[in-house]
Amino acid sequence: MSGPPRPKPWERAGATTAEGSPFTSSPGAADDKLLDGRTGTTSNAVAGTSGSILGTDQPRRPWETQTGAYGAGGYGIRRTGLGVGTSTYGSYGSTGYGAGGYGSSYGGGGYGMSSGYSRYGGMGSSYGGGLGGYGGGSMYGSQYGGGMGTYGSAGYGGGMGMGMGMGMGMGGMGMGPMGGQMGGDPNDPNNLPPQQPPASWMVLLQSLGNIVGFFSRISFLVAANTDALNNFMSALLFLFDRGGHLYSELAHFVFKILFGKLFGRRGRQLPGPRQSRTEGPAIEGTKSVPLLEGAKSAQPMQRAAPGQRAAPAQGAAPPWENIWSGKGQ
Amino acid sequence: MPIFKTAYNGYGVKFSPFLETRLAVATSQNFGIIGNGRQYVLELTPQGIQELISFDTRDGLYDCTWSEENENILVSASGDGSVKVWDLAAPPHQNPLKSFEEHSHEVYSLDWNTVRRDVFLSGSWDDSIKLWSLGAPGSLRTFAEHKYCVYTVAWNPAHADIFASASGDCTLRIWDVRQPHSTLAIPAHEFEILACDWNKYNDCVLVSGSVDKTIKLWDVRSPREPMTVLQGHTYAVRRVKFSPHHANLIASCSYDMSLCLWDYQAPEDALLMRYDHHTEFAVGLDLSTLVDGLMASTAWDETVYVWQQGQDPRL
Repeated sequence: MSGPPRPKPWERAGATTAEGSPFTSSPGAADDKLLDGRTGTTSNAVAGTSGSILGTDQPRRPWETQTGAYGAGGYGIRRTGLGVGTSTYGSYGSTGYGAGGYGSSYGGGGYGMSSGYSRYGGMGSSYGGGLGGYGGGSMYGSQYGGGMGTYGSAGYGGGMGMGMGMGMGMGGMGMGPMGGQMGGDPNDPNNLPPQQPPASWMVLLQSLGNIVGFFSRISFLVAANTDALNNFMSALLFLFDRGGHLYSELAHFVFKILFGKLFGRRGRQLPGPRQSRTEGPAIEGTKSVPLLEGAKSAQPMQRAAPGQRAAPAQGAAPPWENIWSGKGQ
Repeated sequence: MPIFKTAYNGYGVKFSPFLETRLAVATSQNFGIIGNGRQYVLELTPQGIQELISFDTRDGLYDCTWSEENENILVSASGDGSVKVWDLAAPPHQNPLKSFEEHSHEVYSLDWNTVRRDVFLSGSWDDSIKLWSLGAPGSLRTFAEHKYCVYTVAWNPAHADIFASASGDCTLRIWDVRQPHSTLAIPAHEFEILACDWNKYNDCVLVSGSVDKTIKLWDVRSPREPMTVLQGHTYAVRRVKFSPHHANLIASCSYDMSLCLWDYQAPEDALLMRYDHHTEFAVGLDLSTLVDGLMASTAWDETVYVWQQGQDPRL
């Protein structure tokens, strides 16, 4: 055992207990307690649970089985404390409860126009999910997005709740089972009783709305298809256009290879250059090992340079050697 | 200053209280999600950071701390719920010297008492904190009041019996080991609190870092409101440390991959410096008690940086 470490900087600076500090130091008492524990005379005392500060339930443990509705699951086995809090806390949308109702994403028509009814569904819109791309209003008012994300389909009976856990208000909820007259709406935080059945003029308007909605949907489909067809055709044409370029490039390449090879073969058959090349000092200098050896001997430049400089000395000195010193003239 | 490349993802780094050139680094394979762990002991040399010794474990290591009694004793927090004690002087086959296995889930934080010097704390994901002594066969005490994972425990540098804990139940708790219950619980943040530390020059001031991206300063004498809120990180704050040398200096690291230096008493320009040398979540941070301004950090990018404040860690 070595001695204690050097005094800490704050100890050297003489840091003392702050004024009004609630803490007291009585090492003796603590020693006794700890010693008790150490010798095993007191069983490992567990501080009781008291002083609940937050009455709220805590989220489930990372290692606990995750239901489909809970957590994005991306982090899987062990949460790393990195605060992927999104899965727990979700993000709360800002749009209110009414307008989109259970929301057709197709901008209303008959869907959820009269907010009172839309709250109780009955529209059975299969588009309830609202795939984001179709914009706002989907879902039961994204106000409750967080809740749904967290609890997923649990509260929705036959709902198809995907419960992505991101609190983004995803998941097609299929409003069918909610019906119009169910006692209390699980989406309604106040759990109010259902409203009175609609009057006849309301029903008339509603059915009118339904019809308009139906045709709007058909027209949307036609429009969307037209758009898609247009896109497809233009993409195809563009492809052909590009394809032409591609083929010309390919042909160019192939011809280059073919003719390039032909020329290359001829060039090599010439005897003159071949001889001069093999004897040429410059090639020797660069091909030979000195460069590698130089690297090993930690003097790469010195080793490589002599190899290249020594070579001309074997043959005739090039006429440009020493041209600047005047000797070559 | 030098860089050291670890085999696994870094999780915690700690300077030795005895030797100014020595530091320990806890690492985990596969980002600590599953896999092995390795405890490094590194030495700062003129040639760079050299590995002095390393110990392999069967589960990831999340934190480590040095003994204040013995320069060769090092403790690691393991993902399997155990606390491993290493002796650098012992031959390899004798290590780990001990393995305390009482926590039922991952141990995420360790802190050695700098006043008493013979006990240390472990905070775990089983919501409890345990008090240990190397001489005892088991834990001396268990503190179980948190309702969610305990992410950090920190002894008060002025009192042998006082410590603070930061938990995922969004509270900071102050404990006195002589008391049966926690003495104070501060609902400090709206999201999980990942880190806390005590001011070394004022025993009533502590700092907390949270998933809500903020760092808050607390005075235990008036715990209703934070003294200061430091904003600047763009993701959860993983560790906060008060400087051992300067009363108002705080270092923090975050999942935004950056480290920040703060002067919490500067009203306007609290953020003194931002280091962005890490390319993954920066999760380990320590300030040397022996050398003023010497900092170390580790991250999931499998690097350990040691540098002097004010310099670029990459140089």
